[in-house]
Amino acid sequence: MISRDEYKIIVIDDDQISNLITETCITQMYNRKLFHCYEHPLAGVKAMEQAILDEDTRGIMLFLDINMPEMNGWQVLERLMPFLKNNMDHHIRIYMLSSSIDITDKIKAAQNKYVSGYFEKPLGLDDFKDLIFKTNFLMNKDMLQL
Amino acid sequence: MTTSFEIISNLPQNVLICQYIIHKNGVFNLLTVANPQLLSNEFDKNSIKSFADLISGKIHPDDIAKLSAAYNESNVTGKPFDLNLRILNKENNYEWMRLISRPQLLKNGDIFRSCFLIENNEAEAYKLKEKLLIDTLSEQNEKLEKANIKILKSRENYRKIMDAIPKPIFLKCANGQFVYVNTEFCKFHGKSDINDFLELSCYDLLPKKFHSQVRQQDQKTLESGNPTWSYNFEFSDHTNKIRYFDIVKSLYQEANEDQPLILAVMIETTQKREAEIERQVYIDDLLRQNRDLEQFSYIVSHNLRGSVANIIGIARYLQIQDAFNQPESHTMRRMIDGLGISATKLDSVIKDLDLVLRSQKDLPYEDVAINTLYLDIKFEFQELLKMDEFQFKKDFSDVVYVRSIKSYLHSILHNLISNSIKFRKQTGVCVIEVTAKQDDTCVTITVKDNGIGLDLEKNKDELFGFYKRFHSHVPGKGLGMFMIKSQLEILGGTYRLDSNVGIGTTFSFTLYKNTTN
Repeated sequence: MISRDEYKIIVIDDDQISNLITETCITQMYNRKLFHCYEHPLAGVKAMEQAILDEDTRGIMLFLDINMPEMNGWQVLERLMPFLKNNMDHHIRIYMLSSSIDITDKIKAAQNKYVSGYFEKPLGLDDFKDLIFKTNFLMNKDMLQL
Repeated sequence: MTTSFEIISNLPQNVLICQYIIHKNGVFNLLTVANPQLLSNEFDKNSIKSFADLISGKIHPDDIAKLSAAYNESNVTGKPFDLNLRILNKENNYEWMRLISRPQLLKNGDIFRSCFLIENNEAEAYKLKEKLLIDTLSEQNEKLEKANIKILKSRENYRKIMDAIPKPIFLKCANGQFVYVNTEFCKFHGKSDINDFLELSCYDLLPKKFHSQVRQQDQKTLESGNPTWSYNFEFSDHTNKIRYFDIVKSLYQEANEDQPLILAVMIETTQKREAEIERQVYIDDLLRQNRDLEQFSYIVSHNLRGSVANIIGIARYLQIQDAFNQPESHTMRRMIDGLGISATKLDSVIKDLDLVLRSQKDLPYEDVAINTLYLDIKFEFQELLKMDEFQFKKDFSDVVYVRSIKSYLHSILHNLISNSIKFRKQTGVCVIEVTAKQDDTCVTITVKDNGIGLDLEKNKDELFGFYKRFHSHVPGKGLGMFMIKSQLEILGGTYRLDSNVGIGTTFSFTLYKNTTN
């Protein structure tokens, strides 16, 4: 069972290998049950919408890839915009997670007020650990497995 | 002698009669004089030896030559003469009188002559007046004609000047009909003679798209009287070469012509335009190279980086796994598989990069047999074609050879047919139709399918992008459309894409025949 104190982690990325790395990184120190990964952007968007509407969700952390077929990361953000606007009180953190070292992507991320940060792939253990402590969103320290 | 005077004294008062004989020895013998008072009140018949004495000093100086000529002729031919002369009347005024003189040769060789001088011949005077009037008129006519000749001469002169100017010049009426064209204008149209144009109007020579513009400008020129300029008119000369001109038009009123004309001078700008076009080609080329570089940096930052990031990530976790001395787990197996896949992907990105960069090199044009090419490509898909129900239709009845770079044409057709196969509907027969049509200037090849289609409005910006994909259910790298576009660009071709979701896609591309390298 997922308690109200727990945050959901959602990853939207079409790259399976990258997802394996991200999953390995996050589950090293975080409850695997709270980790959800979507290869298809549309499926990811639906999961996000559901999670936002779910009363039991305390918070969501989204790792969003940029370069994907059908719908890129920015288009995913566009789709989520109405939900984000109407649920400002939710703890929703969105991080771009991309292999791109293109500076324009980083600028775009910095300019978007719904985006909390930008990570270059691969996501490292230290990156995630820092994130957890900096944002201090993880209330229950027992959740830490490391 | 006396009697004869009396006999003829009943004559009308306005007729003077004089009869005399000229003897062979030249002696005159006056026979009769009637109504001598017509000329003088003091008449002494004894002092008159001849008719000449009677009228001497009384004839108008201008008429003496006329009289003496008529007299001499009459003496020689023996025929009478009838003249109108100005003679002093008794009031000492010149008066038009009619002189009729009839000679008669006598047997002894003497000449008998009867002269009648009839006064106040108004009818004759009127005739003369009329003649004078006619003379004056014809004199004026002559003057006018001379003036006209002068005008024509000057017209000829200025036309000679226009002929010497090495720019096409023409004169036309308001309705466009040519009045004059100079030599350079004739040369431009490959004609030797101005007469080839006089039946024509400028609208016969001007491309239709310029007609309304020219009409408006002509109107403006005629109304304002100010010169007007128009730029970049496009004409094909007699060799069918397209040339560009700026034209300046002025109002022109030719002497002796009522209707105002338009004088137009054509100033060629072809070289300037060609230089501009050439510059545009360079700019396009630079832009394309720049875009290629951007693509290259995009590939480096996204695709190469993606695989490298994965390899780094996997290596990192393998080290951690090792550090915690965990046994080989399911995760470990997936990690090692991932390493291999990432390396393979990296390799394929490098290969694609090579393909894209290689396509920039100059390759030779050749005549490509379209049917053979099509069959070759179909053969390459034979394994795929076994998987589903396909129906291929072709129509190459119009085209046998296409002049192009063979490997590009192959690649374009291959990618189009590949797309049609990949994006077929899951049910029903997949119909793929390949046709080629041509006219004088170009060949158009069309690949049409009844596949799942594509939302063009939604995807228009990224449709031809590098590594752009629009369907996730079918494997692909998103290279096909990019390659089609860049290869068509190099071939100087144009394309047209129509697609409807659930109905199918039609891709047509046109290759132009004049761009043979």
